[in-house]
Amino acid sequence: MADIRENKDLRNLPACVCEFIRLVIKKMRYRKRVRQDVQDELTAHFEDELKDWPSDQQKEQKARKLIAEFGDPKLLGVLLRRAKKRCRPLWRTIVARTFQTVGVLVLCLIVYTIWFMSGKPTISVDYLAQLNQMRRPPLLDEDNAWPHYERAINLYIEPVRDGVVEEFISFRDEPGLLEGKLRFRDLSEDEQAQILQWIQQNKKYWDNVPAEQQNVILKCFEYNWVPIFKKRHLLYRGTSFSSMTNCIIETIKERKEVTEDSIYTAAGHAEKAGFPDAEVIDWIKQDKVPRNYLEALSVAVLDEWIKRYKDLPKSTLEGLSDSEYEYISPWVKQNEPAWQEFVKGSLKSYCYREVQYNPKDKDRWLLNILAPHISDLRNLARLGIWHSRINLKDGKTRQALGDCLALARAGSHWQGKGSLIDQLIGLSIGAFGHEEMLHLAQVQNLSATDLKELHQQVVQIYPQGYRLINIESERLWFLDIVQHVFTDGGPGGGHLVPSRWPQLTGETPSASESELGIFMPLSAAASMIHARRDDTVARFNELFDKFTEIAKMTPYQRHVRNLRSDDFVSQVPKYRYFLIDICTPAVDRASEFGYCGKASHEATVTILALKRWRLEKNAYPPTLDELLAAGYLKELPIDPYSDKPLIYRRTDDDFVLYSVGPNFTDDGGVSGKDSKGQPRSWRDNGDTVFWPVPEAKANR
Amino acid sequence: MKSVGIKGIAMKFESQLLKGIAPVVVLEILSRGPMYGYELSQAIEQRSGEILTLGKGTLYPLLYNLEAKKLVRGRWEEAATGRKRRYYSITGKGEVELAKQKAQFKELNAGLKFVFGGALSPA
Repeated sequence: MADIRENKDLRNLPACVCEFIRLVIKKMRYRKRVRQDVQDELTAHFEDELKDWPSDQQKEQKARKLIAEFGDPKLLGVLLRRAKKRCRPLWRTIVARTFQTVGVLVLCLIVYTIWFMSGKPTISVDYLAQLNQMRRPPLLDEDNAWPHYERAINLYIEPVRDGVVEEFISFRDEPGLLEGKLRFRDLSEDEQAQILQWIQQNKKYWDNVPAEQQNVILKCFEYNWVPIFKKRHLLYRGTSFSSMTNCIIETIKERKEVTEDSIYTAAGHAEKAGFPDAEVIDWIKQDKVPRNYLEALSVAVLDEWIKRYKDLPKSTLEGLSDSEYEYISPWVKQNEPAWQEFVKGSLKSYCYREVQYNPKDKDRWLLNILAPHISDLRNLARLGIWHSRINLKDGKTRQALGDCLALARAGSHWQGKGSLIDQLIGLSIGAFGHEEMLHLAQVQNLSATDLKELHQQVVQIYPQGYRLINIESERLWFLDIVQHVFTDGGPGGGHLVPSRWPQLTGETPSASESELGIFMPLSAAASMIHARRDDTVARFNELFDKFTEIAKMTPYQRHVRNLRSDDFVSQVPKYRYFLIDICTPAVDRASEFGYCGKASHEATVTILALKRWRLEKNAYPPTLDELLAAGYLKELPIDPYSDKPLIYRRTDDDFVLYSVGPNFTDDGGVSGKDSKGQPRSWRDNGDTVFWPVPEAKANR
Repeated sequence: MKSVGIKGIAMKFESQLLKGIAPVVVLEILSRGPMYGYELSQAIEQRSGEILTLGKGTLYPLLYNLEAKKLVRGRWEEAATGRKRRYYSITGKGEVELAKQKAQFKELNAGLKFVFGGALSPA
């Protein structure tokens, strides 16, 4: 608005009038155009009032009188503003009101957001104590297996990562790996002759290497790493054993010389504990790199290669080869103390391990509790299997069977209660034991005494019946999550706290403030939409009660009723209960694992009973009912995928025992397979055959 | 309206008593022809025999309120001298409202006459 004194019409008015009008207009605080109109109108009024007063002094007096009659400029400004607002058209009123309403709402939203974001959870319930109480036996005594397992874990010596021992262990776990392994016998006769001739021609270079340096190089081979020197032996590099082997063989085939440049290398250090980096580097410093090093090394590599893979097994049912025995038995013997502790633990009646919070987690989430034992137990189970195989190779069948039993018993310790992860680990370890037991029974003719004893011991593993999966601990997980991510109190019992999202989605327990910044608006919006605490907990409990019922059903029962836990979860509105959506356990799958474990155990008991029957009566029974009637079995083994007994059929001098598998279809005893065509249990493209034990073969 | 004076004697009326009169008076004056603010305030004083005066602080808020109710209409006009003034004229709706208010005052006056007898007649 132009300065009121600038208006040419006002120049003739006294200063007090100008000031008065200026004040009134200022107090109006309205649109510029409207204020201009009012200013013009007031100006015209004062001009008309003062036009008849000729002298300035008289005008001044009259003006002051008029100003007094107009009254308080502030009040007048307010009255004029109100009146002018009433004059505005309806649409303008609506627009103004709308902006005001939006402004008020935005302000309320800001205040609400500040209140919302500043909320903090209150941790009031110790769910860890409840979780521990779930697994705690009535009386803690010396019959607890955990101290033994813990000692076994501490005593365990793992094989060198990616080293030769690890490689040999993997062949049995993944028969497909054998296919990718180049073996001397896979080469043509001419190629074999060519390589042997080359070795013979260059052997002298290896023989000239001092014994001490030979030992260092052979030590490197244990790590599947080969030390190479480049740039006239001044630069220490390295390459993998398999890469070096392939390079040498190709060079020999092409009748070329093995040179530094023909070998792909990476950094010299293997970065593994125990690798003799220092000794090799010392050779450079002391100028003691062996003469014709590359030729000498190539001879050593080829010798090692031929020795390693000359008799690799072609199938999982073959006995331990000499090379497997040679490479794995030192590691197994090295771990004898660990294994013996494990066996001691397996003989105890229960295993109770008090779960603890992760000390790095200052918020103490159940999500982050310490579970270091999981991979350790798995390692010990793998050790147990190889201990059994080594014993079998050494002719110690009873000890080998004892190792399998130890695994089966240890597995049972973790089943039926506690966290889902622990229970699944127990299932896995137990499965190792049962599978190896059956494998042993297939490749070895067990005596009647051994069979009877084994049968009785396997039955004794679950004296009160097989322990299926118990998902109750998952309820505690969720309730703990709730108390960590919801405030305690307020509307609906509390709201979701946006700053807790990183912990919930798997970030480190203490996500930095800067990491939260970018996603905070999204987290805040999602948290505002989410249902309140009481509603969320009620909804989850309702859902979880259904899950508990579903978990008790066999896969067949769920299949017939078309019941899936995911269907119940999908009925819950995701946008309002996404916490439930992301924190729901895989109930169907976990329950299925439990029933598969049960079927495997019952199948093992049945197979041992059949084997006993065969030895005593020189033939297998026509049906499993005979075993039941004769007391060899207390109950028939039930197929979780048909709710009927496992399918048993006699063959020529053997039998077949199988489950119809996850496709609920009898495929006539044809085993399901993985993507590489190897037989696997519990696949939906075939049956799960317990007997005869399916054989996984290498195709080369 | 803040004060009413019978000739020579100033008298203050209760503001609530006068509250409803001002708009009717303004509408009645404007019904006789368009006027601008100053002109209107002079006309009220003159045509009421100097009994009624409209306070300056009340005049323009009253006019704007009547304009908001669409009882009067304002428009700018430029005089021959070049001076701009805002003239107010009564609308049709204002005419109707004026007639209604005048009828109500007649009824009121008749009723008060019965109550006070001849006491309301001018001396």
